[in-house]
Amino acid sequence: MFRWNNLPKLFLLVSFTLGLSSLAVAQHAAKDKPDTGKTPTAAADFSGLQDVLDAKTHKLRQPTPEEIKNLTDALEPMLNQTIDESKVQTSSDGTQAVFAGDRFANFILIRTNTDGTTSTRCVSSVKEAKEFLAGPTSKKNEPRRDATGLEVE
Amino acid sequence: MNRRSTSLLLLILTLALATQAFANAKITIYNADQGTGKGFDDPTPVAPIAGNTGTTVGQQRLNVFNYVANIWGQSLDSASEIKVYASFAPLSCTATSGTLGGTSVSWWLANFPGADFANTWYHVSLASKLAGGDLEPNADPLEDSDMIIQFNGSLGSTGCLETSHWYYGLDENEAPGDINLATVTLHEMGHGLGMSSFFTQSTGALISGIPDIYQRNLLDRSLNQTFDGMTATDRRNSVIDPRNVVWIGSHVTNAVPNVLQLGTPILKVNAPAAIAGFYQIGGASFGTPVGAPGITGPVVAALDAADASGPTTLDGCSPLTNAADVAGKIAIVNRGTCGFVVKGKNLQDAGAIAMIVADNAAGGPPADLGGADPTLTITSVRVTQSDGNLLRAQLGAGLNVTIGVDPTLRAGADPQGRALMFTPNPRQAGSSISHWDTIATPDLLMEPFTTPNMALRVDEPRDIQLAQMRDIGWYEDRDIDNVADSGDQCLHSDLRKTVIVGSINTDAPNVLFTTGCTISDYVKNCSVGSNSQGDTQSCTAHLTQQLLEAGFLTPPQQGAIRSAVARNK
Repeated sequence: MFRWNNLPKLFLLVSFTLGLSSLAVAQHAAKDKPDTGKTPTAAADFSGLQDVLDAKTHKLRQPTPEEIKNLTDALEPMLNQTIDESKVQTSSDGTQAVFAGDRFANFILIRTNTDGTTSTRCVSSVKEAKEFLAGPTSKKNEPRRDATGLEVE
Repeated sequence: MNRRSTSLLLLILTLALATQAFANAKITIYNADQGTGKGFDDPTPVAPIAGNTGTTVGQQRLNVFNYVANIWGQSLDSASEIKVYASFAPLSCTATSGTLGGTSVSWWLANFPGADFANTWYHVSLASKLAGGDLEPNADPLEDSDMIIQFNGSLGSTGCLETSHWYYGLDENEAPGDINLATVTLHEMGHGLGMSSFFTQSTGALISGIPDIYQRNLLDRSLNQTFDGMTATDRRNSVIDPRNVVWIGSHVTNAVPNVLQLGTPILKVNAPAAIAGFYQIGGASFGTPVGAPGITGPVVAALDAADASGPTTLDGCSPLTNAADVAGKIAIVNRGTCGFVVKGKNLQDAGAIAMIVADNAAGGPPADLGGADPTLTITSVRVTQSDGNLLRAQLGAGLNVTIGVDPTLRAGADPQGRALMFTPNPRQAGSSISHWDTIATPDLLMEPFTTPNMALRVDEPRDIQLAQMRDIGWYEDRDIDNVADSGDQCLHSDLRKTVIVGSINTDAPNVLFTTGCTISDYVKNCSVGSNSQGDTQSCTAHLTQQLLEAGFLTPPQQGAIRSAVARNK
């Protein structure tokens, strides 16, 4: 099969309006989901998992700074948003190509909260990863949050 | 081919051929764990679960990947196989946190044959679709891939989030606390196929000075500028321009009314005219939710003692000293020192009908208020610090507001009905311009977190994700002839290399025209539109003569086609 003169493609945009829109006007309580992605761990039993419990509060502890460093160090090569531009290849037909490999990645991280719920977040930089893993209670000036992650003050 | 002959050919075509559903894009999973005994090769026996018939952990993982690949594959069309280099090896993890998995686009391409826009980076899978073939074939499976996906095979094992586990069912019925691998994989493949951008976000710098196809669809409403045309500084700043970056592609905008619910919580200033308009608010986990028709009234400042409970007279941390002024009105307090429910209770006790909390730190959009107090019944909302200052400055000018739901505004869209991107300030995890705003209702696949029991769908009416793919160039093309179905007059083209009539191969080249039809399609159409063999032969004679004159056929090829039609009764 060959194509005639590199045929231009036709882009006649059509409106996809077949579905019926919801006309319900919902009430909105805390719809902004500021720290969502939390999944209640039903009847989670943490006995026997002493390494995840805070020695003082006996609640699930947050990651330590060392753990966060280890996690983000491992991610750093894949969240690196730079590329050696000398690696951009140009072929005879003018096509430019660059192999990004596992750089410029989006990674989903998971963190256990003190109440046993978990939070997930998709990040694309080490900075974002550190902030998420550190969690809301690790910063000195960060406001307290309730079990759902909302700021309470 | 000249215009005249083209128009004659179009006249010949009287009936479009029947529409038919096809397999669309082939997405294959390359198992990078082969031979390791881990990940996709994990031989641990398990029972089949929710449509997943695998009997080992590794099989079930691979089944989930193939299931999700099929969802995307049935949604997109491409002549080029999409290759996913996938592994399920152990990733970094601790007892309470870790990496679930991630995706990267293997190659980015620009200025390739078939590109819709010059000097624009494309995700390799999309570039190959537009070019009509694999643009980066390579013997190395990694470099041959279109995307690289890694997931954490250690999740739930000793020392790695032992209370969390992957769910391998092929549905949305994971138990609380489990991570649905299908949902996460659907999200990650979405990034790999087109929901991602290729620039350095910390600086806004483009790669080799070239923007990508994704950026062409991102508009910063503050600047009225799309990302591809911005300066690096503007691009960097736009990533943290809350609720001001929208997707302007027409497919998504057309899909928004079918997917996102009407009704966005909003504060409307009715008076004074100088600041009249709509302001963003965050809701509250306590009290009466913001609803329709809303609460309207004058706004007054709540005043309390500056004491041990709160150091200022504007924080609402103590019983109010101006209860008579507040009663029956909407009261505004500053955030800080005490909990939101404490402030709300003090205002409610003074007779306020609603509470506005003005943030005490810059940034936006306003987050929701947390806390719990079942005795607190008034509606409470938060506004940004800058909006709070604006409101306070008008307290003496007859400030009157409505706290309610704008029934005309969809949750997750701007007033023009364009989908909002997630661009909070200060920057939060997930604000990498490659996700939809978290205000979207219902939750969308490509929000920056996993949503429990999320539908495994990418299309309307459940999601806008397929529409986003259409906007960047994944046009519908069910017969994969590289002519968009919207302009394809032959949706089921015969794309064989030569014109074959019945079982007779004429060896004439089967040219594809911009109409989306081939010579074979036109020849076949002669028989569809004719009442007799004589009519068919006459139509074919006329058709092939036009093709001959236009230079698409030689006389022997014309003769071969006419002969084949005559013999094919």
